[in-house]
Amino acid sequence: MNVDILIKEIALALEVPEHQISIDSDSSSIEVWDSLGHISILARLDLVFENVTERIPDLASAMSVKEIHKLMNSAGL
Amino acid sequence: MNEFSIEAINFVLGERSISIRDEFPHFAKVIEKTGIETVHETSTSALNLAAAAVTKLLAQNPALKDSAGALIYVTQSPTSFLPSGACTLQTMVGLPSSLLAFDIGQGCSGFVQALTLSVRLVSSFKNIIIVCADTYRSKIEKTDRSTASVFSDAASATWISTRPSLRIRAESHYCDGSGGQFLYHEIPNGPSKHLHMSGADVFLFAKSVIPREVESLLELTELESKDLDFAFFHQASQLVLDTLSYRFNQIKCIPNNLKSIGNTTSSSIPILVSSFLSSIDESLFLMSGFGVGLSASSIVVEPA
Repeated sequence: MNVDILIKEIALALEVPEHQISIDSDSSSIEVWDSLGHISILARLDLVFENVTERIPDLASAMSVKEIHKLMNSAGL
Repeated sequence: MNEFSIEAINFVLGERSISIRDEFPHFAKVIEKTGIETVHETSTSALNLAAAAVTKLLAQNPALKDSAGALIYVTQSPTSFLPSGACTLQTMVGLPSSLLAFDIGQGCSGFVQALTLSVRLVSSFKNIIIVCADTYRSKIEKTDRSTASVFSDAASATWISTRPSLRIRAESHYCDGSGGQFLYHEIPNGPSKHLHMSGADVFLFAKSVIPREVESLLELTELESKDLDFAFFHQASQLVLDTLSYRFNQIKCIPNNLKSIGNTTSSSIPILVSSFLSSIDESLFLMSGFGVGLSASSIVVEPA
């Protein structure tokens, strides 16, 4: 999957400008990426990628763009 | 299964109302996701809140004071390891000493569990009071958006009688202790002073398990979601309710009171139902509580 698409969706979920998110971003570098922010990311990914969290439950603990990208790639997205 | 009635529900909220927008301006963005604009905090104990809710119930239904046969106290905010809160509450509110009184240590699924037990007990004990009370706000880290912007302190008191107006048509229960670390609070003096919630894991639990439980209940009862007049889901957060409402969009009414009440854990369903008491006797409805444990209990209730 194109990482730029993922970054765009994460930015939308966290309601931060897209330029603030990069492939190296994680929950420690983005203030609003806390527990609630992560739920927003999961809900957004479910909406855009058709209930992706049911296919990849490990997304619940994936707290960086790289981890999410890797999990989604490995699921063939 | 016994026939029963939910005769009355009273509740109290923590005495201090907190506007998320005003008191936590840096949390304001989350309101859209939690659906919660105001939470309620108490400076007293869950037991005192519980006593206040029962006192309200007894004031409005004076005959219940002498006729109550059982008291079930649902809490995860005990004020003592012993005695049980139910025994203390019996004396605080002046209920008869012939009372069967015990605690259930459950959170958001606790009311539905207490109700299923009550329905089994009601033919023997005639009038049962289910009391739910929790004070999560005293356990949370005030800078934690996922808990500070969600939980409210509250207590509810629900009177179950033998009047034959309702019957449980089917029930399902779910328990998975392997998810216990997703929402926990250690005993005092443990290494972690605050309540911890892994919101993402709890969200995925609610999103995956609850629809499955509800669908299996509907299958068991040979019902379709469009047959249900109401679904009273635990008021976890807007994100969770949106997910469930989307999945069960044919249910006629899925009430939501998050905006002004917040997530009151075990009291969330009785507080929600209290606004619909005059309608439910003629209705087919679902109650589903879920959360800490991880645990979930769901029932389909029909007119008797």
